[in-house]
Amino acid sequence: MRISSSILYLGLIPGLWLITCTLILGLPQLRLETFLISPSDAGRAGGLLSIIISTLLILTITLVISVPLASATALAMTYFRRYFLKLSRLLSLSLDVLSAIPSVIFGLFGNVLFVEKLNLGHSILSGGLTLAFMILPTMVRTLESSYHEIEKGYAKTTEALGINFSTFIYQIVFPLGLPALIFATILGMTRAMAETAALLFTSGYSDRMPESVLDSGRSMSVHIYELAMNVPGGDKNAYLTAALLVFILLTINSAITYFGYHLNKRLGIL
Amino acid sequence: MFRLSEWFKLSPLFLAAAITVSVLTLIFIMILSEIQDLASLPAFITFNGLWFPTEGLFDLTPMLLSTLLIAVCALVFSIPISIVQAYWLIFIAKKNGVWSILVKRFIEVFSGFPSVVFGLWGLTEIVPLIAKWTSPGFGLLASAVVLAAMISPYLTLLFEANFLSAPTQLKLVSNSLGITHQKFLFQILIPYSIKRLVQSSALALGRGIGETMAIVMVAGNVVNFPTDFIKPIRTITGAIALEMGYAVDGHRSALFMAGFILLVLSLLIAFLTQDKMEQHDAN
Repeated sequence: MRISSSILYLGLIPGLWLITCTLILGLPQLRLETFLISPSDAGRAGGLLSIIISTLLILTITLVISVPLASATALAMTYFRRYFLKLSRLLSLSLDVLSAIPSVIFGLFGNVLFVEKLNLGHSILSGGLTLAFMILPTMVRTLESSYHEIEKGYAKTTEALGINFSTFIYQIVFPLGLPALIFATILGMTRAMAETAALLFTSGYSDRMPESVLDSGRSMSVHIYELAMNVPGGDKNAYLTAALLVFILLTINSAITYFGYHLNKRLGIL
Repeated sequence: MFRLSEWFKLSPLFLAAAITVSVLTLIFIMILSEIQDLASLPAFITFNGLWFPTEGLFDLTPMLLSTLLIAVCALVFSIPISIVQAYWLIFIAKKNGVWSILVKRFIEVFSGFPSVVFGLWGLTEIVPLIAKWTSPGFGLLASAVVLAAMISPYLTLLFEANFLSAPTQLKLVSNSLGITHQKFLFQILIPYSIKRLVQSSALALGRGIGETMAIVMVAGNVVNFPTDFIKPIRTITGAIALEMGYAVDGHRSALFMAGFILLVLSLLIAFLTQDKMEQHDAN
């Protein structure tokens, strides 16, 4: 028993070490200017304003594309599950395969399709679109399991009332699944915020303030990578950015826990 | 079976599903369209270890071997930890106790943590630690440790699901026979769910092979065969991340070839673990 409990604690050490060293090395750097001015001297000095703005823009584009797409796909999946089991298998298989594709491959894909073929250049728009496709499988999976439960629960009732399937989907399954949609959106958002590799060749490295979504913009995770790898003496600000990112993700995660708890209580699903 | 208006109302959903299904095909088309000559694939696997883009020498074998070896080493480090953690979470920790909920949440948070933060931690903490013992510190050992820290929470969650899918009678019967935790884990639970455990490990392996940022920051990024734990090496994902910015023509094509190999590798792993998903569907 002693060996196994020491293995248990050994497994927790890297996480604790990582989080304490990020917060201890990063947070003392935090000033008010961090949020008010853009980085200067390749990121060694100055704040993070343009980085934060770029991150928010990328996230917005990602969610605007992926939320409707994911919820429509998940609704289609509940339909297929009922009437075309083969098609639902195909969809499920392609989602599994998509979720197994490494993010760097999505980066290459986005680089060819959005940056080159659609001629959007290294821009926030290309980055956002790439991330939207990357988080799609996660979101659809989360939504689909919840929609499936709702569909099972109400199928007999709607059949007895003679309600059309489209009405059932749009007016019963979708509204009842709204909490799950919010949950999936937050989950997708954390995925998108954590991503670096897919953004390197799609949204670019520029740390200037983006003037439009067609400008190149650097997300927080790319900023950490650039400072740590390519800027000597950038460690401090890399840790500051990392601490902020960690803080945001931890906050979102606690919100998910709280939210998930209430969701469970209300619907008895997920 | 439906009226036409019904089909019309549902058509946006079908469109979305069609887009989702076509993304995979689109990824393949886009990657293949950048490869100049797919038939030249054997020229990228020559085992001479030369990667000199300016001279047109592209040998992917050292990077391929490094990628695989890092992922396997990380898996070797993390499997025992994850098995113990998963077992502890299910059978030993008090259900709904503060400590067990805390550990569970902690593991959940870390399974989705940004890989670049792991990389930063490895670069500033693990690499100097190894460098104290032997310089320069970058290499297989550092990469495997950082990757293990990254995938072990993910693996713990998968193992936990695997253990939970074993019948509860197993534990009840062994309790009544007075079997210790250790015996139960090694002689009953692991043999019972070995197939699922292997599939979960394969999923984690796929994630390790595809990992980019954490490894690129600690691997040292010199093209070498991974013959030593402390020699700087470069992975396929690392090469793509580092060189895509300036690669043109043949070099770019070579990087897309590397990406294609990576894609095929991860798809193979996904298909190998596929029947697990169907079991879930059946349940």
